[in-house]
Order: sequence, then C-alpha cells, then structure tokens
Amino acid sequence: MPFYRRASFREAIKWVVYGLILLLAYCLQTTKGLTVPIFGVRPLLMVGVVICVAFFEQEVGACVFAFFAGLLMDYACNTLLGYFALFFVLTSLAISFLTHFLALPNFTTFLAVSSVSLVLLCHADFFFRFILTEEEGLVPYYLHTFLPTWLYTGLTILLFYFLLRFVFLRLQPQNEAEMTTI
Amino acid sequence: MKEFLRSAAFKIIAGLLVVCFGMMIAAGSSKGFSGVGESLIGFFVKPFQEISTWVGDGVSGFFSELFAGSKLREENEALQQEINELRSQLTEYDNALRENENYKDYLGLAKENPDWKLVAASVVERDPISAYGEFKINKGSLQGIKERDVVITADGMVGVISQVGWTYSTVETLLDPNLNVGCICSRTGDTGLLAGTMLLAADGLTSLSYIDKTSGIQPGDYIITGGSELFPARLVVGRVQKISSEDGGSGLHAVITPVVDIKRVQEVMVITDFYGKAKEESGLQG
Repeated sequence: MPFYRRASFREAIKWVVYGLILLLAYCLQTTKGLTVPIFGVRPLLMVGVVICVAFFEQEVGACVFAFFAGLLMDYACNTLLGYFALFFVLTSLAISFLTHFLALPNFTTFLAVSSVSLVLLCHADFFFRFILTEEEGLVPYYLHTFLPTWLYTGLTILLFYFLLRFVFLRLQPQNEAEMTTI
Repeated sequence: MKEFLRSAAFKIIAGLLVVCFGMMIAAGSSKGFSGVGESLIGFFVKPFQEISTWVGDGVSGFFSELFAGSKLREENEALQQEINELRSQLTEYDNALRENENYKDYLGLAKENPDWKLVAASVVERDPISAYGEFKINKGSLQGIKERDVVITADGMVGVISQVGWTYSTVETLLDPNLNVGCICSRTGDTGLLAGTMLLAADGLTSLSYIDKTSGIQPGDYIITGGSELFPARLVVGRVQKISSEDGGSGLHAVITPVVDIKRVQEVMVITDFYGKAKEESGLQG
C-alpha cells in the first residue's frame, strides 16, 4: 500500500468530519451537564476519537491528527503543551502500524488494540503526572477517580468506533474502502 | 518495515515527535511559549465552549426539574407558608432583603472594599481528572486579568488565576497544594498557612498548617485571609472542621471546609486590583 496519496475531495471532507467529531468530543468532555457522570467521573472522549482514527487511517494522517488532538487535550487538561500530543502521536503510530501491517483491521483487533492502548496511556499519564511528583494520597485518587475515568473512557470508545467506521466507509475513496475488511 | 523506516512518512512522524518534545521543553522552560500556544487554542475553541456551556446548562436544568418535580412541589408549599408568616414582618425585613440581594450581586463586597476592581466570569470548562477541582473561566488578559489574581464568589475565596490566555484563564483552587495562602482565624487571630493535599481534595477539603500549639482555634471557627501583596485581607476561606497535632508536635493542623463548593461553582469574580497589591511578580506565596 503506498504511503503517499493524492488528496481527493472526499478525503478532505473525511478529515474535516474527523476534526468536527474531535471538537464535539472536546465540548462534551469539558462541559458539565453534557456527559452522564458515573460515580462522579466523566470520560476523556478525545482519547477515543484519537484511537479510532489511528485504527482506520494510515500512519502519517493518524499521527498528524493525533498531534493536533493532543494539543487540544493539553489545553483541556492544562498540561504542558506537547505532553498529550507526544503520547497521542506515539499511540497512533503504534496502532496504525499494527493494524495496517501486522493484523487484520477488524472489530476483534480493534478491541485488543484499543484496550492495550488505553491501559498504556492511562498508566503512562499517571506515572508522569502524579507518581513522579511524589504527591500524597495517590492510591485513593487512582482508585476512586483516575482509573474509573479511564474505564469510562474505554466504554465510550465503542461509540466512536461505530461512528468513525461509518464516516470512514462513506468517505474513503471507493477502491481503498473495498480493500479494507473493517 | 525497512521500507517504512526509509520512507518520507517515517521522517514526517519522527519530525512530529521532535516537535512535540521540543514544545514540551520550550513550554516548561519558558512560560511565554506555552502561553501563546494555549492562547491561540483558547481563542479558537472559545465559541464552541460558549455554545456547549449554554447547552450544558439547559440540559442540566431540564433534568433537575424533571427529577425534582415532586420535591419542588412540597418545598413550594412549605415556602408559601413561610412567606405568609414573613409578610407580617415585611417592613422590618425590607432593608435586610435589599442588602442580601446586593450581597448576592457582589455590591456588598464592593461597598466594603471600594478599592477592589472586579471582573465577573463564568466557569466554562472543568478538567475531568483534575484532583484539585481546577477549572477555566471565560475571561482572560483582554479583560485585564493577570496571573495570581484572586478568584472569589459572594461567599468567599475560590482560588487564584494560574494561567492566563487572551480569552480564558485557568483557576488554581484552594484545594491545590501549590497554592499557599497566609490565613488567620477570625475569632482568635491565630495564623496558619493554607495548603491542600490530594487526600483532602478528594472530599473537597483543604488544610491549615503551622498553627501555634497554644492556639485557641476550634472546630466551627472561620478562617480568613491575612492579607498580603497577593491576597486582600479578610476574605473568607472556610471553616475549621477538625484540629490535630502536626507530626512532631511542633504545632497544630486543621482540616478546613471551604465556604465555596469549589467543584460546583459556576459564577465567580476576579479581583484584578486592590489597595496594596504587588505591581510586579514578587514570587511571594502570601
């Protein structure tokens, strides 16, 4: 499969739609009242969008998308600019590479890949943001807030999978859509 | 695989990773870079934030009315009876009600503190995994807000501005251990240093340390700011919940319940100037 692709109008529209979905996820994630809290926690919806786009798209597109999504996530979570961008680019590269070179891109693969990605992202974030700063009370915070947030995030990824799959199959250039088995 | 490593795609991705790393280093060592970057992002997403906040408020209001219908009806009947009783004392309570309305609208605060310059703001965003209730408001440097400006409600202090963009600001709350505020007990005058912990922040509490061990401070006492170049004096912070000895027995330590429900606050005021405020960044914790 070639890495360079001439951008078509459908391809451009597809990326615009991905961007709008990302903005929607940002608004839902950061505005109180728009997501249903479960035991007081709300999901990180942008993570789901990034993982799903990485699953469907080639490496370059997925990583560029992940870069901008990461900057938006840094703004939302008030972390150092580039922190989540770095995590998202690495995660997207791994997911896209695994999906397009080593495994069949089907629903089972998606479940496996997204679960592993979430676990790694969650714990990497916790390590760099909290364990390295050696704050007190980490275990209760991890068990009552941090872990439930990421578990809830995992549930919402399934919704984004079906939404983005629909967008991908509708707007991907026909010959390439037929080559996928998603 | 080897082809991929030699391809332009790999170089683009490697370049992205270098940019991310470089941005983090630049943002960490120079706040100016981070501020400009985040200001640009904030400027771009602000319209979407305003719309989503408006929608969110409507959705929350709809569901709270739906589920609280019968409860509101009972409360309404009880309030009606209370109003009938209060009507007979209407003349006497008129002034008190007017002052209460003014206080709610911050005019009372403004009258007591004519040197304060206040900017009203709304909470537009909350970080879902922030341990300390950090949030963003819809005003920034364009409205005169600067870093370390104090954030309050009519009830008391909420926190300080930790980051300022053109159209947004991030508020570091009283629950955050990085925010140290010099406080005194309004009843006894004993001093202490307010600084949160992650354990207490989970319950919406904060702590007051370095209280003299001969202090007469008791549960229920009000804690107010002592006043400095960073914080105006006599801002209500919270109430003492319990007292204990510090490790080593060198002093006392108090658990404080903030007067403001920090994780639910929606409307705030920012004190952009007050008499005695430091004009330059002095690095003082207050």
